[in-house]
Amino acid sequence: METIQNINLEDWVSELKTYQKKTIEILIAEYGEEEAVEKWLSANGPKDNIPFGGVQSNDSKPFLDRFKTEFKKFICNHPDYEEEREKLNMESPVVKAIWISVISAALGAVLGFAATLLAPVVAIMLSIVGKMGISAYCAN
Amino acid sequence: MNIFTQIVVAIGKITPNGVNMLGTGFIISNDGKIATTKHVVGSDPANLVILAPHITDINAYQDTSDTSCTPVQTTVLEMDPIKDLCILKADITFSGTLPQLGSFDEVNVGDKVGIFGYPHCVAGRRVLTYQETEIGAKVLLESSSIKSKHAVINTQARPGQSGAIIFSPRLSKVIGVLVGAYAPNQGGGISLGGINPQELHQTTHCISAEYINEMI
Repeated sequence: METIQNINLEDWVSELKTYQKKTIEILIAEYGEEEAVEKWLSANGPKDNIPFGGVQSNDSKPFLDRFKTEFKKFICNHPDYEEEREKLNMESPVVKAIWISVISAALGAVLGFAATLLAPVVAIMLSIVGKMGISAYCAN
Repeated sequence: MNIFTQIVVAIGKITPNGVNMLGTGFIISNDGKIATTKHVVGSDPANLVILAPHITDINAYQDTSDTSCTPVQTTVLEMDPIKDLCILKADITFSGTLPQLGSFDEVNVGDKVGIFGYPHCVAGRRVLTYQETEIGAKVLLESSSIKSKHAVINTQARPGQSGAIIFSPRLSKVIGVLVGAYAPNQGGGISLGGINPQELHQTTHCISAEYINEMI
């Protein structure tokens, strides 16, 4: 998994769908990478609007913590995600879209969250890990 | 008008006690893609269904005592939590001609619009209902510093209408999706018999359908 270290944020974000890419770029420019993750995961439409009906939204802070915990397990060789990691390690060089897709699907299944909703934040997190280096990220 | 009996669907979740209806959606492609709001679906895609149409004639009497339904398995394709939009894929096909997706750019304040939805489906009542009103204003609504094109329509909506189709008879196009009602102070309010007094007004918000095009 060391191979992701040479991939920058723009390259990861370029793999997202156009609507995700446009929004994520604005959120990162406005709030920075870490806060953009939180903004995306906690958003529920415009302010001053009651989004009545439907399913009540998750409490974003505990969910964010759970997301980060599972993401770290994935990246840092936790046995829960061994099968999915093997799929990624077969890809050389890194196919970014597959990485985002496989990780989003794996985490989504565990967290009970739509994979498409996780894809943009997985892209950002992969960039953060790449910048830090996997060893440093996993040591924290 | 009868086409709307086939393309406007109730969205629900299968529970141990049957199907729990959550709101409205509408078919946007012949291979079964459906547009609705993100908050209708929630973040968890498990056990999501649409209910197959229960009438073919909009003038038919809808039997409110008939609680039978045909749920169709549905998956989440795309979700935009900032704009509160969601694209689903149901295991259905639609062979007719669907109305095109338009934009609030194409209509003027005062233009008539039609709304098809299931106003009280969250309370278990499945009645496809037509309302007609006007565009009251065009507004930009903000979510996390990102502004999106919305319209105020001059009618009161109920929770089951979230995700309802906003249709322009003049253009024969879908121009928006109903997303909720104006409320400046969310949280901590009072509820009277399950009704939030803040929702009791005619400032209903709809998002421009142009954003759906970016998601499909």
